[in-house]
Amino acid sequence: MDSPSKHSNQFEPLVLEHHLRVRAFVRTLGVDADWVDDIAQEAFLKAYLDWESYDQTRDFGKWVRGIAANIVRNEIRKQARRQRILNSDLVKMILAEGKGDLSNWDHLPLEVLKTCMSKLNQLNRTIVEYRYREGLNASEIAEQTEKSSANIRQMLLRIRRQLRLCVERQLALES
Amino acid sequence: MNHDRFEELLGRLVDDELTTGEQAELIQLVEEDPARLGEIRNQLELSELIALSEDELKGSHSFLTSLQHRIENDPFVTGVHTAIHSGKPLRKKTSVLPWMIAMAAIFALLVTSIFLFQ
Repeated sequence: MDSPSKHSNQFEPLVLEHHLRVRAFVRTLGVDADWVDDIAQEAFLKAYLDWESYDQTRDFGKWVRGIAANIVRNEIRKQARRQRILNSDLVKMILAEGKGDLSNWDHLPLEVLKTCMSKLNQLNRTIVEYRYREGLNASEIAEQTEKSSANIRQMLLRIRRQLRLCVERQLALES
Repeated sequence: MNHDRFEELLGRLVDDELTTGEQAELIQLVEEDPARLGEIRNQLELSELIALSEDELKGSHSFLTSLQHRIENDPFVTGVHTAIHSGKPLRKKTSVLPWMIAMAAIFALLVTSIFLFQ
């Protein structure tokens, strides 16, 4: 049996390998964007402390995502901490859907996503940069681009769909 | 009409700007068409992935550093470290209050019995 201090060397590479996917997974469960990292870190911390129960022949990422899903389930039960999730009823529906995992992507397609983002037209690229690099909300982007905030949200929905389609096509080509 | 409203609410959800009333409305729209739940997941997922790819501060190094800090400051982990370095087994902390109450009760009994037998 290893104590937590003894497996820290094993643990760090696993965190580096899996944290992006765990964070994206936590977000898909309906966790508020500002709390995603907090819950993902909590999941890794629990994994670290509960290392002895981890069957090392199993997928580590899947194990941590399971822990993260349990943390979110517990969030729903804790009235005082509900601010970490967007809406408890909605999260319940997402959890009940039972997929419990990130799409069908075996590996997080971050590099493919970056390639797809480079193919966006100038206006879409600018909106993505305002939203995700500069952290502006729809109203602030609307002011910058002389569009309505509803229009900006609609554009962002379309951009994300377009990017998803591009990533899926790229992955299909690669496979 | 419902589709347009769903799109509007979905955009606000991803931006974390839904009001309580809008949340209830969105849930109702999902109940009407459960496939919308998949679209919600897809949008949240892509939004997070774009954020991760755009924001250097949210990268691996920063996440790992925060996690390491959290692990180092976790009471259980520090307890284990202390136990390892001191060579003593981990023990659950016991409160002194019950002992103090018991001692006070014994003292009170002794004083009472002294007065009774005088």
